Amino acid sequence: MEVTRRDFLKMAGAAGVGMTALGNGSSLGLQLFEPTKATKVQNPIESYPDRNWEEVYRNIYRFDREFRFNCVPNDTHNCRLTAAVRNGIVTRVEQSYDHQKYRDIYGNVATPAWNPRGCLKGYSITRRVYGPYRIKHTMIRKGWLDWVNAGYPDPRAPENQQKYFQRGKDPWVKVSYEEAAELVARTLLHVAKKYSGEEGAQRLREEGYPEESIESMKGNWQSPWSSNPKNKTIAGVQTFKFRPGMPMLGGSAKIGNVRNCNVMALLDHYVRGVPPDECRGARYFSNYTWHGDLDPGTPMVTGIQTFDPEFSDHRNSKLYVLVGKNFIENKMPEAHWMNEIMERGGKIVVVSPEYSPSSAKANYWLTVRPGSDVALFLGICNIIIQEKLYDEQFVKRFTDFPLLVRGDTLQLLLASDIIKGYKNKKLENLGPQVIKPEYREEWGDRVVWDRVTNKPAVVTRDDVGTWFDKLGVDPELEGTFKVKTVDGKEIEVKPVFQLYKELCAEYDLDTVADISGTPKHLIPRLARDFGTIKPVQIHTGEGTNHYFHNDQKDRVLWMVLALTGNVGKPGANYGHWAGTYRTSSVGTGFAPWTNEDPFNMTLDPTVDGRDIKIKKYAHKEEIQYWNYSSVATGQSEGPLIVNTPKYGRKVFTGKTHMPAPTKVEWHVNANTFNNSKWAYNVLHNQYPHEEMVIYSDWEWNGSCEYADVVFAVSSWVEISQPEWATSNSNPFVFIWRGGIKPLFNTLSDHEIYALVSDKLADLTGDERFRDYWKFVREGRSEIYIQRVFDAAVNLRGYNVYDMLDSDVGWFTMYRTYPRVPGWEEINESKPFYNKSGRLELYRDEPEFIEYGENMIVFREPVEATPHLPNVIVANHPWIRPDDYGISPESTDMDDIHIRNIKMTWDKVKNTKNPLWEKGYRFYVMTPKSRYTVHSSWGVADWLLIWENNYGDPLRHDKRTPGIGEHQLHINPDAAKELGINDGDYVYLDANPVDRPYIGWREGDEDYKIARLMLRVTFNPAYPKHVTMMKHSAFMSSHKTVLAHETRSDKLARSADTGYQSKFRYGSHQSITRAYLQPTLMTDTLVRKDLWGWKIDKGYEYDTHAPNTCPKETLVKITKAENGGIGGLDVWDPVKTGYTPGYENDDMKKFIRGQFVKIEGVRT
Amino acid sequence: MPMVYNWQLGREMFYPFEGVRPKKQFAAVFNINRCIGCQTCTMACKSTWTFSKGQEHMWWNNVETKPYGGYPHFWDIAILKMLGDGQVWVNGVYKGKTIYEAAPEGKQVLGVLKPEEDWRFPNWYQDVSSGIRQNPLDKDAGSSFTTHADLEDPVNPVHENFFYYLQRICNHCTYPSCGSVCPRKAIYKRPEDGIVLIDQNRCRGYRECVTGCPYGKSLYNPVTRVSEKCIACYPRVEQGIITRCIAACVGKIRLQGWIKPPEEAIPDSPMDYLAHIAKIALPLYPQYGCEGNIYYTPPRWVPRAYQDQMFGPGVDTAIKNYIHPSHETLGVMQLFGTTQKIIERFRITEKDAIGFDINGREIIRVPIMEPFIIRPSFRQNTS
Repeated sequence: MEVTRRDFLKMAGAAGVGMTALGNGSSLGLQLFEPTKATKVQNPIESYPDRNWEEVYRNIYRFDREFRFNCVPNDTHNCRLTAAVRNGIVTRVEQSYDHQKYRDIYGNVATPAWNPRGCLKGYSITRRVYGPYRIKHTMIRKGWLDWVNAGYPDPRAPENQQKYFQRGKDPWVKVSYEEAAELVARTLLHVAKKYSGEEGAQRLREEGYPEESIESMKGNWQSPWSSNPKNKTIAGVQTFKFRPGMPMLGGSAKIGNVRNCNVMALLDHYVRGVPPDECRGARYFSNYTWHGDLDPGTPMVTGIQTFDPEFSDHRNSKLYVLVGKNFIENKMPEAHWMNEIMERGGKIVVVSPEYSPSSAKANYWLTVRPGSDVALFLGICNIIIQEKLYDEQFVKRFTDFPLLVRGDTLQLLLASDIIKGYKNKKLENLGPQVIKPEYREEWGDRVVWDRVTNKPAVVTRDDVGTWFDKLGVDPELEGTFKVKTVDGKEIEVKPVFQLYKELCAEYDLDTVADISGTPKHLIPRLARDFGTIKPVQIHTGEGTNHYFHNDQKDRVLWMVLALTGNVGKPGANYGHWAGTYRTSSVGTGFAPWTNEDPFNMTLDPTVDGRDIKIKKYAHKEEIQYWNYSSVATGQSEGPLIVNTPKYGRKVFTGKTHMPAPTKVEWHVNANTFNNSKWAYNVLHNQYPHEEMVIYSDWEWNGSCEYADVVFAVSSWVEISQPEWATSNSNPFVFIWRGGIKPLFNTLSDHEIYALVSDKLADLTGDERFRDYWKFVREGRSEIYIQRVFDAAVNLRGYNVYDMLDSDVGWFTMYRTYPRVPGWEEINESKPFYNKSGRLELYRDEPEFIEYGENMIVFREPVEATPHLPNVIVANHPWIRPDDYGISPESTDMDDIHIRNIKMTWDKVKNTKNPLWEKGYRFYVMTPKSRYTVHSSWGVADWLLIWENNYGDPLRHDKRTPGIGEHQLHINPDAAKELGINDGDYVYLDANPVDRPYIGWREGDEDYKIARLMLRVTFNPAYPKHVTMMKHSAFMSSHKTVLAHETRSDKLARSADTGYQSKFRYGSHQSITRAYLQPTLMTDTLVRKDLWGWKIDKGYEYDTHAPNTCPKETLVKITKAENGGIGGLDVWDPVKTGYTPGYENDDMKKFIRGQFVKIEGVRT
Repeated sequence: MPMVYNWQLGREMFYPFEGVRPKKQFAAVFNINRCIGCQTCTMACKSTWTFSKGQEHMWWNNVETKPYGGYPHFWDIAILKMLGDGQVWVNGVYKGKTIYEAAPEGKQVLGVLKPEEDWRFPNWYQDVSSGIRQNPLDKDAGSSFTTHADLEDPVNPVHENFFYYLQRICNHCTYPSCGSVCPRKAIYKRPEDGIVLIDQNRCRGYRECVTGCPYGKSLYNPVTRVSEKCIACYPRVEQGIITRCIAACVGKIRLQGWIKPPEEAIPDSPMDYLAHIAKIALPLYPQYGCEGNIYYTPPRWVPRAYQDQMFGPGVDTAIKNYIHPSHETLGVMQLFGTTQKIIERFRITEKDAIGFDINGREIIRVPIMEPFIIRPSFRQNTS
């Protein structure tokens, strides 16, 4: 008998009807079933008579064909998966098991040890592709459409705000792509005109934007921040902020938004009528700095954006130290490389406040007070130095430890300081580095104290490794010396090492244990492991990147590795591992695509990518400024400007960083608004200044909920034009097309840019707009991809068509596999990308000296501390912060940002954070969840059920916003002290001065929407004051709250958009805010450009810019509702005696393993 | 009741049917140490078998966080409690009662019907650590403590406030209790591969198997009104392909093969090697008496008593052999998660681990060390 699943279900359903009439089991014999042939089963573990029914499952399993695609959320992995298709539908996803087929042009082949990659998100992608949240059409917000049609009446007029700018409340209008593109193009033209020239500047002034921001809209393409004297007027296109969401995940369509910025130079040309050289493009928002993904101290030490080794290199490590990094949960497709260390004789150590999933794998775990890691590691450096556990040879050959520092200026001693008429030596050891002659002169040559001659000796940036050996100089690391300067002064100088020896001594074991709360006996254990085991690899991540002083954390961890020589070798190095940020991995390769000169295009498809003419009209901007509001100045966005008692108005944002006012946003592939720290503040204070907010995505998310224009794009399995991606965590490059036809009326992102340009061509009569996207329009965008590969140092030699035909991935051809950062610098004695060519632990730029951070010091967190926020915990006389006179009592966050005062720990210990005193006494860790990538998959049904303690497909408790909800992990004792039970709903409130948004008032409808309510889950893994809530959930919107309060089933799902919130009220961003770190806004830090090998200084995209720091939050927790159904009683499971915090004797017995006894010999 | 030999107990035991072993027995090793709790296996299974109406609560494969997690809730503590204090192993032989031997009057096995609400919240308390001190004589810090950070005490090298992930599918037991309790005899073991199935035609949904499976791995479908369970992806296994959950495992913790009793162990069969020779793979709750066929490499830092309770008396040896693997053991561990084909036999050379299919053909070769490649100098690591 053949039974298909469908027949079977039918029969079973029908059988159910007759079931009630049945007697006992032995008399079963349903009429509807064909009786099984042999009704007697003798021994079911031996044989079974009729197994024809087994066809049921074979039929369910059947599929027609397979295709390969890449799953490319922002999680660094880019897994190439196999989709099984049946009747044109992707029914499920499978691992590809094909890494052993990946090659490069040299004949190298990858090993099957890379199999498999692809996690639960790839495996549940069908729930998104076919899910209820797809954006099925291009949509326009009704109020915005009316505003456009009304001829753009003044959006700042209160009546017009009321009429046209009710974002998140208006209904939506379905329009065609053509119509939407036309509306967008028209508005771009309108805004560009409105904010160009003196008239535009005047408008912006009246709106309260600082002059520095407005001024930054001048300039030219070569050096966007330096004012071009020819350029007298500002360019309105600079108010456009396009965000290529996670650009490396779509080397064609996603990063194409930068090209979209570049083409706006044509619009500027049309609007202002200036010649091409004076034109400007739009600005493109950053990604990884703002996600808090980057380790901003790494460029301070190495000059290079990041230093991540590839994941297969983790297995080579013998001591693997995770500092605030939950590798297990965050790096799933490749976590096995790290886990395998335990089988290969290595040690894993975790430093984190809580006992994390990674701690569970670790040999030992050091708990640490949130934000105090720097103190802990200064203490560890102290032991390494005191016990002489450092690698002296490495320290002398590759670090700035031997360089002399002047006691008077705190700057490094230069040869020209002490040698009259000194001429800087000609640099010969450059490798690929490009250094402007004026920089070389500015930097000069540095000096050590030679113990052979007992005199100062010059060491140039060439003199690293073997080059240094050839000098025959043996520098002193310790001691204080006197030198005579050319102007006749005798000054005191000390090697950097000596300074750190003195400073670290302040961080003795008792002090450090007191600051960090780390068990005292574990600190020397880790220090000695660092000093005796090689190679050592350290990884950080969002855990510690999300503090204000994230750069200090990097610098101190670099100091550990620099001292012990664990750099540039397999199994060594410093990684941070968050995000697929590494557009730099293809060198300058992107430029032919992103920055092709729109005035000088190449329309011949056969031209080598290296020969495409490049002009960078697109201008980089850190998105953090868009996110930063000031209570004191009332600025809704912009640079950090503080009215200091000492100097009056002082701008802490360097000119190179200066943001322009934002009037238009266009985000692709990123749920930016939803994921903004302080999102409801953006809504209340920043959005009212903006005239067009565009989102392109394939699922309706929280950002779409508050946008003006939403473009529907194709998912990764539907794209018709090829897309490509590469990564920094694995060595592969992938190129793929979708395998099914788009389900809805969707396009790829770059097809939408092209469409808008098309309309701009119509509006301006400039055909170049159209030509700029020629091959995209012709469906041949692989020509642009080939140009990138041609120009990319690590991809050159590949042919796009061969790659597409091969249907596998390929190696990204880095210098080595696995990619070991620092390979060239350490093994081939090449200088690092900074002034001294060495690993720089000392910073002598004026900003660092002024802020007291010339040396690495521990500063208390800027909000999340019981003590005086941001105080420098040190006493060393060579730390001389400029105290601007900010009162210790001030609770204004602008003020706290720049509180430069120095105190010893015994004093700091007794200081108080006024916020803590007011009852805000819980830290909130906001890590990534394994169930989401940013917010993607956040409400995909299966994952929502699995992500939290309240996943219930049947929603027994109707208060649950969906079939699961967001939760806060909390220590059971801490919760009980507050009268909170496991499963209860609580309110989470942060500093009322500015959160959830500046200007909130009790009783406001919007306050109700913005105030965070969520459920608690008891977890003894968390110390008492530390709570945890995953980041990037789908936020509550006006419409979800309305639905939750009016629907009979209480689902928090917007009536018209279908948007599903993960909260009843508020969002994880209700408690966060934006910060602007002064040390991350300098104009002087020397670092490599993100793309290529040119060395420059000041701001650089995703490299040197303020980093978001959501962990700088203290909260107050208040019970909102009981956990039991209907809020009447405690949550049911609490009564069982088997849950954390309520264990009965049986549960205690179970946990202690007392049900079983082992006697005698074990097997 | 006939007597059958259960090698996991080191003794004979009661079982309602004659002890007949299949020609081949489906088995898998799950290395808990490598598990990252990512639930890719769970989604692989869900998207293949349980995506229909009536299956919303149903997860044939699940990964739960011990000690508090459990799907269905408290499935193991419920049985342990009923088995009581007699669960004693002496010199590797289980002296206590199995669920067959402890069955109440008139029942085949000791079991409990899990109520509907116990199938909600399938992944509750993920990443939640124990808040109970191991030694009851220690000063009890209440329900939670946070100061115990020394995780490498030389005397007792365990993490006191532990948690770990337990990966669970049907054990395709040699002596399945679900099969022994079914009033319809609708549950059987396939002689060719030992896979245990519920005949979807013959089952009438009495849920005796739901009660009778001590692992909580028989599930009731309220729409079809019959019970279902993991089928070990037999449509794939029949073609020499590993199950969906095992193929999906991105942590590379799972390896599938065939197991023999120890006295018949084939040294180059991966399952026999790991369970019987290297001794790094242990059965789950062997005291239940079902001779389950999913084997676990126990988590290295978890308190031993808790693990003894779960995996029997082989825990110390397994952990020791796992963290200090022989070259051969290290080699076999490289075969995890490298191919979708069932590895029937293996060979470990100085450099490679090699897997062979049923015909002795090489299907996979994995270097034990990854190669180090240096390319021409115009390619850049610093970029």
